[in-house]
Parts: sequence; structure tokens; C-alpha cells
Amino acid sequence: MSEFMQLIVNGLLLGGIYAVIAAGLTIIFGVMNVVNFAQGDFLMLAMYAGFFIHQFTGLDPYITLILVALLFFFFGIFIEKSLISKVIEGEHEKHILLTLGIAVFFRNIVTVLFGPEYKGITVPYRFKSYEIGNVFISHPRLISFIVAAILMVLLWIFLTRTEFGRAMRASSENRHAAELMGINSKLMFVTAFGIGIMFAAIGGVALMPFYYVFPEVGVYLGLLSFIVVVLGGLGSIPGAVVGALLVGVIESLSGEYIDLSLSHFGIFIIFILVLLFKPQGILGGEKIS
Amino acid sequence: MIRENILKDRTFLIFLILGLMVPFFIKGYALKVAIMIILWGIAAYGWDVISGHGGQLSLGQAAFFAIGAYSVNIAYLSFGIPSLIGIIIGIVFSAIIALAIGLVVLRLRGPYFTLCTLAVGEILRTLLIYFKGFTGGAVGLSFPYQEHSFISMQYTYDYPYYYLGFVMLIIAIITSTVIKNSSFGLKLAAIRNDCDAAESVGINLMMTKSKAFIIAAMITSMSGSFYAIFMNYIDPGTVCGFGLSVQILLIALVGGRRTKWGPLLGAAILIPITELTNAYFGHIRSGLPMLVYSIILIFVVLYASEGIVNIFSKRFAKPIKEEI
Repeated sequence: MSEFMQLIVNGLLLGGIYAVIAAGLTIIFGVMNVVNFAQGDFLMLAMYAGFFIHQFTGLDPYITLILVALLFFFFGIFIEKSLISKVIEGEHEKHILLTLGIAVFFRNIVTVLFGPEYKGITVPYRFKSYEIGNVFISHPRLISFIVAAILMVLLWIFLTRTEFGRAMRASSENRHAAELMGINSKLMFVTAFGIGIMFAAIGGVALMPFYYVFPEVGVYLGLLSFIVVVLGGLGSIPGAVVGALLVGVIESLSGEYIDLSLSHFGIFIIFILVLLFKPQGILGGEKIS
Repeated sequence: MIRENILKDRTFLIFLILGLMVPFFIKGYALKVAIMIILWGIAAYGWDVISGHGGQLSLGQAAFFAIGAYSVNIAYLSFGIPSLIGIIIGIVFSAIIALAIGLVVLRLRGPYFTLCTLAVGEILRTLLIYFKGFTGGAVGLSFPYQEHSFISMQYTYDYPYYYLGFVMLIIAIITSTVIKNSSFGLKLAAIRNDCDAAESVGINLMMTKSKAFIIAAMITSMSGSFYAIFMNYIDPGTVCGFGLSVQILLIALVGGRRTKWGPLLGAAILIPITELTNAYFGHIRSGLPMLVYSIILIFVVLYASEGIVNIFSKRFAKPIKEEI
């Protein structure tokens, strides 16, 4: 029983980070109607950025997180301005192909520059943990979860309590009506993409204390964030949180009780089942709210 | 629309004759490259059926490539079945799997379909690694070395492979052309342009899309079998990877979707680039061919989404801009 509880806790802690990554994806989809196939690879790039900043300065990954987040906010804006905005009026197919091209580019430029090897950082508190009842809570995972939770709250405040956030939500509800109300939708697109990429980057760096970095790391995490977003309903942020926690727990349980090499399998099956029977997601298909 | 009889098409006949004579003129490494062009061309024609003609963007075509490749190897290694029959087993098997998967994934539209096919490829790869007994796990399978064996299709010279591939290529081109000129092709065009409108005029969406998905799977499986025979060695990472799906997609996209020569032309442009980057820089770093591919992909999406066939030659391929 305590083993079961342990798995649930581990799953929830990891799920918190998945929520951040998926929130980024869902903002981009909600506001821009773009399915970003490169989300996982932006995350991978951020992990490399975090890794090298840590290597050269020795800063704690949770401090480099702020730096990487800012960096990737502007990197996201740059990519949106230079590439995404050129096809944004086109069909989904173009969005998919373009972001796919960006994803493959990132993945392979990193392989070419830094090699395919696994890299990792060592932090002094890596194996520190707290015992509550029979359940161990790992210190870095807990910190990452708290960072994720704070971030989600901040996002919530931004979207519901600020003028800019409200404008963004209006834009995601109905772009043309929002434009008629004087909202600059181009500005909304750029900001949404910047924030979306920043969230992927934060998720990536928050994983670093207990995760390895390698060029393909974004493939699985990107696919996972899609699954989260579909589970929660595309465009819905509360949905993304629920979906992420669920995916974290399912992954943790199926890795233990089925087989570690099949831990992805359970999630893929659930993904396909949800797509089939409840494609609007478990919380319904609201837009960002 | 313009109906055409492929056997009366002069370009096609010239291509047929020239294609048959290729091994008389080129030898060695150049012939190997020609075989690779044919191999990836076939796979791209397969993808083009569902994602070009059908307009359903598939990122899981590697799954059927892998089924074809593993069918040949497992049939020979575990049951001693000749490789030529292994190809047919692979095609049949792919058709059955495509029917089953299609019933699920073809209900979905747009990005959901794409995501689901991506997941299908990943699921198959996980299974191939998991069931080590048959598939050799992550290490993969290889044919034991034999000199000149018709049973396992092993030869020390390359032209038998060339002719095997050429026959498959002709089958793929004819299939693609026949689809384009049939009422089935028109139904696919209708679905591609507006699937709700297509349904409202009485086109059975699931039936039409399933057919296209199955045909695509069969052709892709054929190319996978050919890969296994030609390369002698397969592993899940290479034949069922995400990279392979992207490569197939890119070849058809660069050449021009829904055209008679597009996928082959795409392969003829991209495969030599891969070979060159591998030959000159392959020892420095892996990942370089895919890097080049990604740049081409971004470029094509931004500036040339109709493909090269449609840009350079109006004569070579009749433009197929929505002809309904």
C-alpha cells in the first residue's frame, strides 16, 4: 500500500512539471490556433541552455531557471516573428509541417554541435528526501513541483486579473470580435508564443536536477504534453493541470506494475481512447479560462 | 478532369525503358544510390496516397515500413519462408493492421489524426523492442551471410536488387496514377478539400479514407521489405523511428504531392544529399543529414509548398491543382 502511495506521490510531483509544459502548448493553441510540434524540442534546447549555464557558472539550476525563462521568452518571440507568423493564416497542415521542421532542426543541430550523449548535472541535494508516513518525497522533485505550482498560479492571475491577459483570452475566444474591440491580435500571437515557449523552457530546467539531457529528450516529453493537452481539452488551462497530474500518475503506475519499457505504452493507449470517445477532453473543450 | 491511360503515356514508357537499362550504364556506388532513390521513392508514393491524395497528414508511416521490413526478416529467420513471399506476407499484414488502426485513427481530423499516427508509430516501436524473442529487441535482426541465395534474396552484386525495386516502383507509380484518375481519387480530392461537404454529397468518409490508408500502408510496407532485403540488417530505431516518417513525408513534399513523378523526383533530389553529407561529414557527427532535411522542410513549407515538380515543369506533370 505504501508502495502504491509512493508511486502516486511521485506521479503527482512529476505531473506538476508536465502541467507547465502543457500549459505552454495549450496557450499557443488557444490563442494562435497553432499546434506546436516543436514544444518538446524548445524544452530540450532550454535544458541544454540550463546545462551549459550550470557548467560555466556553477549556479543552482533553480536560479538559472529565471535566466533561461527570460531568454526563451525572447527566443519564442523571435521564432514567431521570423517563421510562424508567415504561415499563421494558412491551414493546420502548414503549422504542423513548419513546427515539425523547427523541431527536427533543433534536435539535429544539438546532435551535431554537442553529440548524442546523455548529459546531466549533479546537485548536492539530488538524493535528499523527506519522509512523511511511509512515503518519501524527493527534495528536488518537491521544489520543482512548487515552482510549477507558483507558475500556474501566476499564469492564472495574468489571464484573469490583468488587462493584457483578458485581451489574450478574448483573442482566443473569438479573434475577429477581439480585433473589432481594438485588440491587436498580432501582438497577442507573439506574446502567446513567447509565453508558451517560456513555459516549455521552465518545465525543462525544472526537470534538470533529476533528469538527463540528450537531443531526443524532447520527443517523448513533447508527445506527452500533447497527450496532457488532449486529455484536458485543447486550449483549457485547468484541463491541462488535471490532465498533467493524471498522466504523471498513470506513467508512474504503469512503469511499476506493467513493465518499465512499456511505461509509455499505457499513456499512448489512454491517449487514443480519449481521442476516440471524448475528443473534447475530460474537462470539456473550453478555451483558455 | 483529364483522364489519362498510363500505358499510352509516352513519358512513362520512356521512363520504363530507360529505367530498365540503368544497370547497364552505372555500376558500384552510383547503382547503390539509384537503388536507395527507388526505395525511398516507393515509400513516398505510399505516403502520398493517404497524405497527398487523401489530405490526411500521417506521421506514422514508419510503422508500416517496419511491418514490411520485419515481415521479411521474421518470415525467413523464424520460418524459413523465401523473402519474395515475405514481401507479400508483409503487404497482407500491413493491410490488416492498417484496417484495424484506420478504424480508430481515421475518425480523427487534422492535427488529431497526425498526433494519433505519431503515437501509433511510437507504440509499434515500443512493442518491437519489448518482444525480443521474434524481433531481436533493440539490437534488431540481420540475415546470416550467404552468397547468392534466391531464397533470402542475397546477392554480391546489386542489379537483382535494382530490378526488384524497379518493379515495385512501377507498381507504386501505376497505383498512384490510377488512383488520381479514378472516381476513388475524386472522392479523396473531395474529402481533402472539405470533408463535411464530401459527406453531404454521399461520400462514405470512413470507407474512402480506410481504402486510401490501406493502399498507403501496402505500398509503404513493400518499400520496408525492400529495405530489409537490400540492407540485410534492421533495428527498431532505424526502420520504425520518427526520423523515417519525416524523411518519407519530406521526399513527397519536396517532389510534389499528388503528382505522377513528384515522389520519385523528391527522392532523386534528397537521397544524393543524404549520401553526400554522410560520405563527407558522417564520420564527424551523426544528425547532419536530418539537419539538412529540416532546413529543406522549413524552406519548402514557407516558399514551395506545391513541390518542385509543380514549380519547374508544367510539361512533366500535368498540374493537379484542385481539378474538381
